[in-house]
Amino acid sequence: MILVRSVRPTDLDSLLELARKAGPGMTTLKADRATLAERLARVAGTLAGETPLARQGYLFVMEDTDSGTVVGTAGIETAVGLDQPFYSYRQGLMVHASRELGVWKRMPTLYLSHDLTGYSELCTLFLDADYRRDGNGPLLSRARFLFIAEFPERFAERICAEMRGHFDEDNRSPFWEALGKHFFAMEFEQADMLVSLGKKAFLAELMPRHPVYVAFLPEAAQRCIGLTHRDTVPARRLLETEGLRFENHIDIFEAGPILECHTADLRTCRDSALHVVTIREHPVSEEADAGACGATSGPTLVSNRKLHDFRVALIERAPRCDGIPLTPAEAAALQVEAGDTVRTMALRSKARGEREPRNTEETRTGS
Amino acid sequence: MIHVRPARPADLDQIEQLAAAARPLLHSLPADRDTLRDKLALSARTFAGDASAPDDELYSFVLEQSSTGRLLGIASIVAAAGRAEPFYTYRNEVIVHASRELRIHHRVHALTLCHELTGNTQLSGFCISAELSRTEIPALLSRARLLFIANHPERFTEDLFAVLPGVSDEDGRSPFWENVGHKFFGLEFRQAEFLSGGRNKTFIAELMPHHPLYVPLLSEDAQAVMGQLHPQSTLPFSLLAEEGFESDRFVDIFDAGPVMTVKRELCRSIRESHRRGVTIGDAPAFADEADHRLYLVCNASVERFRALALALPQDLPEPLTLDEQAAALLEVEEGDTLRCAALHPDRA
Repeated sequence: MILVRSVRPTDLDSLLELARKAGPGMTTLKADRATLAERLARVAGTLAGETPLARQGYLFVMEDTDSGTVVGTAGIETAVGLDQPFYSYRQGLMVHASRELGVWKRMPTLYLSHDLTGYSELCTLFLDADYRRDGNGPLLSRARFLFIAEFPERFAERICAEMRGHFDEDNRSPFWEALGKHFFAMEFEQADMLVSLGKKAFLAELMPRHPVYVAFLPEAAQRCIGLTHRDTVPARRLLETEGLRFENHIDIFEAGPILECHTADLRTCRDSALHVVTIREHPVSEEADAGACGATSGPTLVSNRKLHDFRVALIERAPRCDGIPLTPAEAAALQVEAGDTVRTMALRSKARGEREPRNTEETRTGS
Repeated sequence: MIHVRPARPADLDQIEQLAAAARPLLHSLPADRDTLRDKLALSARTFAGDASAPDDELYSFVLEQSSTGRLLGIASIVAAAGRAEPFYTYRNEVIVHASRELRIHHRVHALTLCHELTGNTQLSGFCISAELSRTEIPALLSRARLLFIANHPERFTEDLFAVLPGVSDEDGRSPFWENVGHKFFGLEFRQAEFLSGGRNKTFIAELMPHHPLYVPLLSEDAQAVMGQLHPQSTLPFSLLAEEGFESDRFVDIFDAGPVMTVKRELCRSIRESHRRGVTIGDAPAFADEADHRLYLVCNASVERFRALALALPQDLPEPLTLDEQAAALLEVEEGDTLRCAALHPDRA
């Protein structure tokens, strides 16, 4: 079965393999053993309470328990911008108007900002192409929200996620070509490489300090503002279902949108529920089950609520009034026993009629 | 002879013709009768008044053919530009983008809307009949203003400036305006230029960019004309450049034409001019040309200001002997004071 769990030091080789599959587009998942080992140590330190706030972060992996292979990963940084400044552009608006001349002009303006400093950040989402099916994408991404819902005190009041920005057919960023390039005298790839080496803040120091009038950018660059890379559209939709929104902050290099919301407003924080585990060899289907509560139905995300060995699985049935029935195999995978309490969240929200993207085409993640 | 004198309201017809013939058209000298009438009235009040500090005064001077009364040019001094409302220019700044870590050192230019020239004395509205452009006469008109300033420093400021026309085509299209001003105004260049009639209107504050403009983000056409002179304005530009005016720090907010600035005390006409008493008699005119040199000469009056170009003895004896005709044209009598500046600089 497919399981999402906290990363372990022994996952290093598997992660390295996964990073090779992710390719160079993923700046926070480079196929570099030392970098990954350092990341794992940081996660362990965070769980042990030994890592300072500025460096705290979590990483989860998706495992196919049948083969024991790691097929995906997803992370959360506790508080961004406390070590190196976290830069973004905020797109604001200036209105230039003169009653005398009968002129009224809307002038969108980009302001370099550190607005998102201290926000928690959803990051490093990657799923092996072979596993982009059966709700694995939403399971991987949303397992993180169950963790946040379980341990809200470990996260900031607000949370954000950077979406990859738009690149044209030649794999060039029109936004970079129009803006960043003038201030760096280097190609995007070079800048991108420096970012992956953790030098983003150095680069940001070279960016224009004064606000930039959007009207002075070529149209192709203007269109990039807040535009998501086509491969990242499903990931964005998923986060929007969770309650994150584009609030006019964009990446300073390629203008991809940064989604954000109050952590307490995450759908999983609001709507997840606690249920007692019951073990059934053959759980009855919900239609025939007189004990169903009716609050939620269909596939359900279930987490074991354990900080040090956090696990989430997607099961085919909803909780009942007397608890959530798990098969012995599911209980074993989640490391829970009858009588334990688990946190559950419906994969699809019935009340609000929102649908998760679930077919293979839509869950091609890449942020 | 041709002399310079204060403009009068009665000069309106001729000045209107000069303004209409000016190329490029000057926003500071619009061929609009009502505007010109107001300006001439203000100038007449200014010359008649006894200003003790620079304020709203406008001094307009005309170039007149002594024998016919025909006007051949006009030029003005605004005692303090933008007294009622700030005077706007773009300051051309250099911003260094450097990172020691990344071994990058990069200079980027940015234009910042500024009020720095507000309240400074401005030379403006220089316009001369095309037939004179290859003579010494344009220098007489342009520099007469500086000799006037030298005589009455209390009426002007220590920093002087002038805005020269930038690049625009015959239809009045300015590449800089198309790329910059138009984004904020939504108006055509000439429309905006003559609506404003200056650089100190409230709507400039309302419409012009509040944030610096990074030059690399401007179109190539716009960048190419920054600080560039209108091709038909080389004459007034070179006259000011010879005086020591420099044009590297500011550009005009509409067409990015050069804004020239100078410290009054460093201005050649002011620094290298001399005061002499007058005596009237038979000037030893042209007795020996080698001993003579062409000088710009003006009297010390405000209301009856006169300036002309005269050949005077090289060593400018004290007092200077003028013949009857020159004394009459300069409206001076025995014992009055003159200010003289060599038309051409000393050869080094």
